[in-house]
Amino acid sequence: MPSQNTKVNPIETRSLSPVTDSLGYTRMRRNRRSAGLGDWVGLTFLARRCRMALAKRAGNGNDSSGTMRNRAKMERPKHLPEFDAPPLTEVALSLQFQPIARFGFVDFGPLRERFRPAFERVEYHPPLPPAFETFGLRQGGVAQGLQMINFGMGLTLPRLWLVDKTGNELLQFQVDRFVHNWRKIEVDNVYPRYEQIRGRFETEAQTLMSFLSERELGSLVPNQCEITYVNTIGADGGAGDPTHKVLRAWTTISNSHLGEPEDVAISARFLICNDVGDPIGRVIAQSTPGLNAAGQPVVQLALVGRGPPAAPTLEAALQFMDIAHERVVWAFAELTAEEMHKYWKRRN
Amino acid sequence: VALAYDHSYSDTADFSPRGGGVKRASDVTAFSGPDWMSRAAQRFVDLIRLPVGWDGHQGHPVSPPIADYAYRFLQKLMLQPGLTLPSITPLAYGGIMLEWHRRGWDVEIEIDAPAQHHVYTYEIASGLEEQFVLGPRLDRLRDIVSKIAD
Repeated sequence: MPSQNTKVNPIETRSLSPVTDSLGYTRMRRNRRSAGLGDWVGLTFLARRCRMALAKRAGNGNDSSGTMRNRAKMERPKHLPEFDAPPLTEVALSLQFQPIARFGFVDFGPLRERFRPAFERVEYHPPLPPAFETFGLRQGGVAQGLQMINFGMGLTLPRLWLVDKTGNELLQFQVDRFVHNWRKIEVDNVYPRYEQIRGRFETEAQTLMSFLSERELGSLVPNQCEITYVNTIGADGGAGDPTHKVLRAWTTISNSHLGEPEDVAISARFLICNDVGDPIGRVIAQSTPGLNAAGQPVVQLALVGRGPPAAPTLEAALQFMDIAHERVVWAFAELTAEEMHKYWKRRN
Repeated sequence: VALAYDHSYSDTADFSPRGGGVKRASDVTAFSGPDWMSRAAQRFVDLIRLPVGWDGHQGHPVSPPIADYAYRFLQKLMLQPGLTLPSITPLAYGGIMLEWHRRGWDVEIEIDAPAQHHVYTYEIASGLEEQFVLGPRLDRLRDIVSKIAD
């Protein structure tokens, strides 16, 4: 293994001939080999030019022209399965972006004031770790012994929670993430539907972008977006784990010699692909056994649609969320047992 | 160094996980994993702690968000059979470079922000070199990895 040098050497002059192939990748042929850093510095310079061009083409993350189009009231696609009484307990729309390096403790107060009329209560929580979906390499995870480490050393900025007076609506902000949650607090709380939450989230994200811009803290450059649906599903008063009644793929397991399982935890990932079959995101389904406040067994089915936006803009992030929303709704309908759909009053 | 695991929903639902549930950072105190992981983790920690001007100029220590991302990215790469741990090199602006110089190839992956990577490859025998911006699709790394893996 070569020594871990510092990559700061005198810059050498190189003859580079950039050509662009059909995929838009820039290739260069160098006249002679050198492992010296000068080559790398020269190449890095070209890479930066390339990145600048890409960024210019993709927009700078503050382009509001696209988001104007999204302000028109969204309508729910008619082909989507619809439930009048879904077992939803929480929905979260999350935008992850390049860390706002200049954001500091002193900015939390003014940010809170910006959202204060609607969100009065404040809480502080540890920051969420970033999540990135990539494709094309053999995937692993915690299950294969890999571990996530937070290298944020020393003083770490918290995750700010801004909660409305009912507790149903929640905004979360940390230096690389902005989230809007809707939560079912009371039994009779009615889910306001994705289209409404999305509209609020868009307005709030624009407010955040204006805030960052006015205070010269930097711009919002989205790198991942995520939509999460959390369902808490009971078993009609039964004492056993309800998974085999709830999840379609698990409905036959109780007929085996093993009988009904004590409890079941399931995790599955599915690719989201575009029209030509290229992966653009994932749906992650996680079923976790648990107990409700009355001590009855329940299943928490969390469905997450996550991926990078096609461009580092709010508009592209919202477009991805729309796609992910459809996939998550279909995933719920297709992963859960039809028998349960009657309880949840499926319309179509 | 703290292990982290969390999600964006708020855990306020009428639900308590059974059997211990999901581990959180505060639950985990000891690091366990393959040897390369602890060596890589220690290297990242060292790079984050570099003093300003470590390179004799204005060099910045490696930014923690970049180290976070690079570590995860490295985990994905190291799942590919036969791949050895690269040299992990700081860059003056706070970025990280992963480098392999083996089997007749130079392969360098520069990470200058989370999810922003740039790849440079050079084949010594042919003198052919290539550079490209790598997005979320990592397919192209498969061929490159096969060239430098055991």
